[in-house]
Amino acid sequence: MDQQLLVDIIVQIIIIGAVASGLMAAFGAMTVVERRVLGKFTMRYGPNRVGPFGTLQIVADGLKMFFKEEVIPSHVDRLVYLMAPGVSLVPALLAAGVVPIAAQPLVLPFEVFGSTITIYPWMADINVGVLYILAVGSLGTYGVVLGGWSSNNKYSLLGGLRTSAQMLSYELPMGVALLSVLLIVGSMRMTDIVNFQASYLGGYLWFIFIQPIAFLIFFICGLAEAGRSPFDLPETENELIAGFATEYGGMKFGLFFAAEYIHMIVLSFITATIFLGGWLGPFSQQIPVLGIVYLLIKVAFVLFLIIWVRVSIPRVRFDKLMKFCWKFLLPLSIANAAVTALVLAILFF
Amino acid sequence: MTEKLIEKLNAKVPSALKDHSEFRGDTTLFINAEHVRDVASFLKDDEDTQYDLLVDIYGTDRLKLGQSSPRFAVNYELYSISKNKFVRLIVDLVDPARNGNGGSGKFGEPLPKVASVTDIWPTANWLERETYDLMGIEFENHPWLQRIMMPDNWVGHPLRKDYPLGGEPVYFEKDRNNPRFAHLGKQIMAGPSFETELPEEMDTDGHMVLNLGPHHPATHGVLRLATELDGEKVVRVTPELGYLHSGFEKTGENKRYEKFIPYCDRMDYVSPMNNNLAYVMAVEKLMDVEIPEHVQYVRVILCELQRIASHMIWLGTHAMDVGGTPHAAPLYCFMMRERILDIFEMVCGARMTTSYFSVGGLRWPLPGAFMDAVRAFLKEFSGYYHDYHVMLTKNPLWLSRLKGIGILKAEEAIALGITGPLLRAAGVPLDLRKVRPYCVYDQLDFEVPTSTEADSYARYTVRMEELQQSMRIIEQAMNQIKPGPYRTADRKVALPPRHEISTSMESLIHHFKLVTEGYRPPEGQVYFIGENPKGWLGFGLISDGTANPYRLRVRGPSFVNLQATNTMARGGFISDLITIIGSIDIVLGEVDR
Amino acid sequence: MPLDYIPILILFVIATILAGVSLALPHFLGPRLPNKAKSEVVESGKLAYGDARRRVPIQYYIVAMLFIIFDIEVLFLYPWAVVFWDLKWFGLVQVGIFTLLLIESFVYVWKKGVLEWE
Repeated sequence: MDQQLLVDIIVQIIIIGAVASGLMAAFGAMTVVERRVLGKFTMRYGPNRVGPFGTLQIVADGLKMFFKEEVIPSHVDRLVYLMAPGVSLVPALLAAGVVPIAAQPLVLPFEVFGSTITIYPWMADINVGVLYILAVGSLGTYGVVLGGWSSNNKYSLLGGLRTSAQMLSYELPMGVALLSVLLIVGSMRMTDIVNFQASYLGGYLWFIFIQPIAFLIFFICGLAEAGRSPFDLPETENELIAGFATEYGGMKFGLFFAAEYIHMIVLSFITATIFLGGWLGPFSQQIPVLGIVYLLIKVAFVLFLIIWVRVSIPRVRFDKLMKFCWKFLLPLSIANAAVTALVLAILFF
Repeated sequence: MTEKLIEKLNAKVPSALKDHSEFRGDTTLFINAEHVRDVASFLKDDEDTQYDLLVDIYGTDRLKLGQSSPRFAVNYELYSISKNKFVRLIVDLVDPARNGNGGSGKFGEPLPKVASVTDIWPTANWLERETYDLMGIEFENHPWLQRIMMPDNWVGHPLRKDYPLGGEPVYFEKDRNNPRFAHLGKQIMAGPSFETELPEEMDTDGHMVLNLGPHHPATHGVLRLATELDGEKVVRVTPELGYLHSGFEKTGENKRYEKFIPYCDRMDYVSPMNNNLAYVMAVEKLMDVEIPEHVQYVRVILCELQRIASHMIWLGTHAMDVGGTPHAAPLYCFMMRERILDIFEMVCGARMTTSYFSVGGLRWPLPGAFMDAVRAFLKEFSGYYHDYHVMLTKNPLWLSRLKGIGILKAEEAIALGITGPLLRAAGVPLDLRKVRPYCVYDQLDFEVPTSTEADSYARYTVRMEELQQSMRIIEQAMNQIKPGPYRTADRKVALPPRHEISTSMESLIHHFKLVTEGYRPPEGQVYFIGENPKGWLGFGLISDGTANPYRLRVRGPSFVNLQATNTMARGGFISDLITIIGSIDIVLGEVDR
Repeated sequence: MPLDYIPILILFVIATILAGVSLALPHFLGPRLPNKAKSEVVESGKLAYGDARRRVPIQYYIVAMLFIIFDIEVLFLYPWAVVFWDLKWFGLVQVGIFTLLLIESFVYVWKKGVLEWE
């Protein structure tokens, strides 16, 4: 095999491994950050005992998960029951595959074994990026549904059914909302979308400004897809105890939990990339490192928004949630896409 | 009035009335057992009486009373909302097990029988079940006469006077043959987690029957709701109680009057002050004690603070049920409750189990900083009160979860014996503080908030408005209160001041008597109801002239209100059921007592 | 082009390993104290009435079917979005007709009351 290609692949494996573990670590960090932020919102401290500012809580929680007893109830469908958390986690991680964090690859100024080493700021820059995100996103439904079904528990079953209906339904407006962005860009490649935003108005033509409705729909659907409040119907701890995860404990529950948080983090990255101009910001074109900082700030902002929604908005009732999706979001998103297409056609054709 | 009632009753249902009596303003009618239903329908439907609210049903066991009358009696406490009148019916029942002692209602032993009034007042359902369970009185034609507090396979009826006190421990089956326990009693329970009986109409095959509780986040304690679901729709809800049954009535009957006060705290543990007040006032009514005005004002102030604290718990947990655990409202509410508990701690050293009121006054005088602390609290609270409105009142999601959910119309509510904010939200302005003012409520200007919507949102707005009114009451009471003695000068009830004991022989004797023996109220039967944050808290006392109450009856508002769950939740979604439980505002310590 | 997808494959393998290891590790690390109560179904501390595998409301199936229909619509629209600037009015009109047909069926479904959750 071509040596250059081999080195490239090895570098890729290392980077992807690092990113995947980084996402798992980000999940841990996010749980603590969320609890701290929730604490601040509700006038209490949150975890602040383990390590400075409670940062080592991540380690404590992680270790606890691994050292818990593995309880497999006797009435479950064992294979599916054990598979479900994994099936939930993998798509969440996969969605991160197409998110770019900077414009240009970094070519290291030295050679290893006679090959140049290029570090790409994305894992894969495929030409159907947005479609890929949607496809992988809906795969996440499987884990939850399988978990809910295999548990043979009524709470899990109800939770699983709700989740499947909810995630599938919100997929639609999300897709149509993204369509109106794609119409403008004319490409499904993630880097193209950012570069489009970079090429007008000195890099400030972010899609949140041209497509505010699409942004709102996308954000709302994202919350529903990740099962976050006020659309956390899959869990609804006050109705269904823990929904689909009722029969899960220890690391098996942890993986469901991780899937939700990674979904949420990746969603924030995607939101920041598509709607908030990704790495764009003052001087980001001159100093690429600054771009990554900008991206992280935007991601943090979206994550904060998600937590903020969680403390301040009551949960939606399931039937209203479905009605809201089918009778409001879907028509609205179709209308938005249609208007976008027409306006573009009239102005530019 | 009573004469007219008796005349008419005699004309309508001849030979039903055996006797009647008046004691401390309570009218009692003694009714022949075979005419209970006739008298009940007459009292409910006749336009001169209209006793539409059945407050309470409880049994009496006269075994140790030494009377020649039949052993058992059933008491019915009735109230007419339109006429604002109370009446008590007493129905004597002969013990069919006859020999008097030894008949503690073992399996197969015949029970005294009386006709059920469930179809006249639906609220009688649970009250009769409770009487059956604890006193062993059978109600004929009751729709589902099952034990409600004790386990299904319990032996005996604990409130009977010949039921052993202690020495009757509960075993599980595995200990049945263990010789170590051979010398003890014979309660043998089947192992844990067996299926509990459901009413026959519940369809466990065609529909999904889901247990919500006892270990469920939204049931506010160990309540179990067996919920029949068709998809996500609720077909029927059967609440099951008794996981926390602590036998307060039996305990009270074996303690001196004064000693029961700390037990009241533990019933509705989020409003101990109001519980104390209702109990203390029942005893004061029994003994006809004059209470100084200063004390009355202090009681009002503390009870209204407690009402705010109790409503804070309701608002917080309700918001949590509807909005999810991390919602901000719960902790905003709990924070304000903390402030009130701080004031209570200052007043009496305890935060939750206050026991601050004593028969005849207060346990100690108020601390000097009390007034300033309450004023500071009111100032801070009105700011937070605004925040709650901002957080929830107009929030569209909050509205969509509450509006039109759990409708309980006025007629249904009255029939089910509902009181408190639930009834007022259905448009009935029934507030004992207004219609039958006790303490000094008649000298304070406040309104009784009502709503006509009768849904969960109406209950929300009514309670929110009540918070406002409570603030108003406290403010007025603070302006009107004058310094004065903190307990009555009646030495038969309250301890004499410390300095008198060393100078006055008489005071020393009173002190000695009160401490060693307690007071002995006159023989008689009274029933006092207080307007608690959750509804009417009733205390029934039957005195035989000794220092212990012969019969102590507690009517918990949560217990009666909880009966409405099925009516409200039927046909709604499972999410609505959670909203409804939150809007009933129950405390399981009081439901199970 | 298939080369572009190699990183996705790598990511998939790594993610699967990650999930597998996380699921397997507690098996060896955690204590083992089984008892009957632990392996019973969780139903708020009571024995369950009957099995959880039973008929579920038809509404869930309808939502799944609707999803398939409308998701395919979106799938058709995406390629058009990419060539939107090339096809110009021709594409717009054609997709417009296609979408109108779908909207019509959507209105039908709506009027039929399928979207009501009763």
